[in-house]
Amino acid sequence: MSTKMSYIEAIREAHIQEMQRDESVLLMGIDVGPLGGLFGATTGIFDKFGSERVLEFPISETGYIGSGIGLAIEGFRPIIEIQMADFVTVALDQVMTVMSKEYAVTGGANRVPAVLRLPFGANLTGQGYMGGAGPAHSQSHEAWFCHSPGLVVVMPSNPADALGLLKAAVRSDDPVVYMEQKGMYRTSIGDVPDGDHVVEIGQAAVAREGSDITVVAMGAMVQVALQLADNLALEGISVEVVDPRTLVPLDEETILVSVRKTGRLVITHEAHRTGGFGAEIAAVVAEKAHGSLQAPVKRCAARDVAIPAGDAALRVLPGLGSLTTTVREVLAF
Amino acid sequence: MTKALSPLEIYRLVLASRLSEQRITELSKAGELPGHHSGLNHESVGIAVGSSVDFDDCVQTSYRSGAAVMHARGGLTLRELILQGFGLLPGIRAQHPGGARILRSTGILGGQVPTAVGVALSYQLRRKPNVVISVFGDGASNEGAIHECMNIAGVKRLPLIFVVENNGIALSTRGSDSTAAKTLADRGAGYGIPAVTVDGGDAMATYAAMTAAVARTRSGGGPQIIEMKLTRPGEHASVIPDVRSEQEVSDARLVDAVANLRNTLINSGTWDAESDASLIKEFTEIVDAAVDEARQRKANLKPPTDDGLLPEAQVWRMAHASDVPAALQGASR
Ligand SMILES: Cc1ncc(C[n+]2csc(CCOP(=O)(O)OP(=O)(O)O)c2C)c(N)n1
Ligand SMILES: [Mg+2]
Repeated sequence: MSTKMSYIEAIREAHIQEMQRDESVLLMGIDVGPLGGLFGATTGIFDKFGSERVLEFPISETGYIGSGIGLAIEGFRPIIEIQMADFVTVALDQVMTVMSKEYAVTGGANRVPAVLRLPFGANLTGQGYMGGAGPAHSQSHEAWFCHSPGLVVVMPSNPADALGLLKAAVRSDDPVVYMEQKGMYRTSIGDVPDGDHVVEIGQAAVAREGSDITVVAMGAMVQVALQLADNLALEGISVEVVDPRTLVPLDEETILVSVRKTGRLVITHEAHRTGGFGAEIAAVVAEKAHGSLQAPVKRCAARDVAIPAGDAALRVLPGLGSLTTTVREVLAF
Repeated sequence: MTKALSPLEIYRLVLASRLSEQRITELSKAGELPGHHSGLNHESVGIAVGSSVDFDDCVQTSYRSGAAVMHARGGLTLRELILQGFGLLPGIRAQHPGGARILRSTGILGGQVPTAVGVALSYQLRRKPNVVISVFGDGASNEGAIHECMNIAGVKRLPLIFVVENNGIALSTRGSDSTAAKTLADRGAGYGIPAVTVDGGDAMATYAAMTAAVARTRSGGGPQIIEMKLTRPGEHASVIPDVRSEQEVSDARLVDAVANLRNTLINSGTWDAESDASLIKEFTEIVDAAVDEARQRKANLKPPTDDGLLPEAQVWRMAHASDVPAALQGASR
């Protein structure tokens, strides 16, 4: 049995299920109380659980992410909502220096079972872009967190995974950076299994099987890649779409199996190309499957310039047009 | 409850800390030990903090007074202070197994304090009668993280005491070049937190102020700021030249909490020069023996190698509390 939900409803449902299951689970953030958060992801949670489970803070990201770390060390399991991923920049020391390293530096004495929810990106599930978001409200910073050992990094691309990965993140004994693509909040709708649906961390999904080329797509680009696969199927081209779902620890095997089968690889994400996570995937394939490649690996990512506000964003962000061009280039090689 | 210490007991603690710190500082300046941020003249703060808390209260130590805190809390004997200076025991900012509750500072000034806020919040949520003390320098007090923390502690009335070790200088930057505030305690008003300035050159006044502060916060009085005025008699760290004039340095050396307390004790007739000489001799013998022991143990240590061949699963276990992902089991690199 399953229930139809939007991406944001699935996130809310995961909070409710986990907060009901385990009373050490807390929600922390700015405006997460009666308002239910900037985007409404946590609507109704304050009414259900009250002010000792839903902790509201002044606009002090360093202060409240760090508070979440202290609470986690003391045995709570806080879900820390950042209003937009872009705002975590003012508090990066907490994530990079404290949250990620606490376990290693204390020789395992302190655990930080916290979840850091980062609403990122601007792609509306392949149906255009959040036009006004602009340079400081539409970024995708996942690569930074993947480069900070100790963190687990997940990125769901549909409502079922949004629910299942958030539940897994809450239960993880590691700090988990939960990259939620905010353009998908109300544009991505799908069936979510009823009951205790947990998506195991570290498992990629083959979103569509194919044999001519592999597209590894992340976040909202998964939906774009599926559209592309539909379009190219009409021409008799068979595209396999792989969604890593977890970036750290990366399920390399699923990607390598796919590339060994198709011999061609395009990687696509909303983050900027230089130093983006696509480079890591390309490196893994170069190290472990170079003999299977029949063409150079290509990336389709945001260009290396600030993301403009308004429709000009379309010139810079990846989309169906640029992904189609990239895939055709690799097929033609 | 912590038991009240007599002036003579406080004297023994500050004297032991002084003698160990003196030796570690000398050995560092001589090049035998690595660069050291000497805690000379900061013993009174460490002993006051360490003597005023219970075993399960939490202290976030600083690099200057941290050793004295651990000595006062019974976590490190005089011998162990020396072994720790040689790197043979976990550091002064580490939670020692089975030891009194300690929170690390991260090495990034101010970045540690939000964790202390979280621990204080956990005590509040669980209605535990414990307090958290966070110790940092005057220079660190200019970091944004600490301002956020003082503000959050104020609005949530947390059981958290901020102790500012104000030695009037931060590396080479004098306090008068860092802030226009007349005292650092003045800042308390801006956060609605009571704050006092205490003469760190007077070990008994320092101890009395800390004991009173802990009692007040423990009984629900909320957060406080205690500014301890002291001086730094030497360079910032053994490997960094001092920019101060000879006059400034000799003025700084005039203030000496250990000598002050010794004089007070002798003048009041509770102590005499002869007993003092024999106590110094007794402690110095412990220090000498510990240095010999440390040298021998260090000589027998095998340095790690740099072959870079740690198995992936082992690296994961060093960094993460969660289980080793299946893909990393048995993987080399
Ligand atoms: C964020 C950050 N900036 C700079 C440094 C380098 N640094 C280490 S100690 C120090 C001076 C700190 O002064 P203060 O807080 O007054 O402590 P004190 O050394 O006087 O005890 C500086 C600049 C650092 N560790 N972290
Ligand atoms: Mg200072």
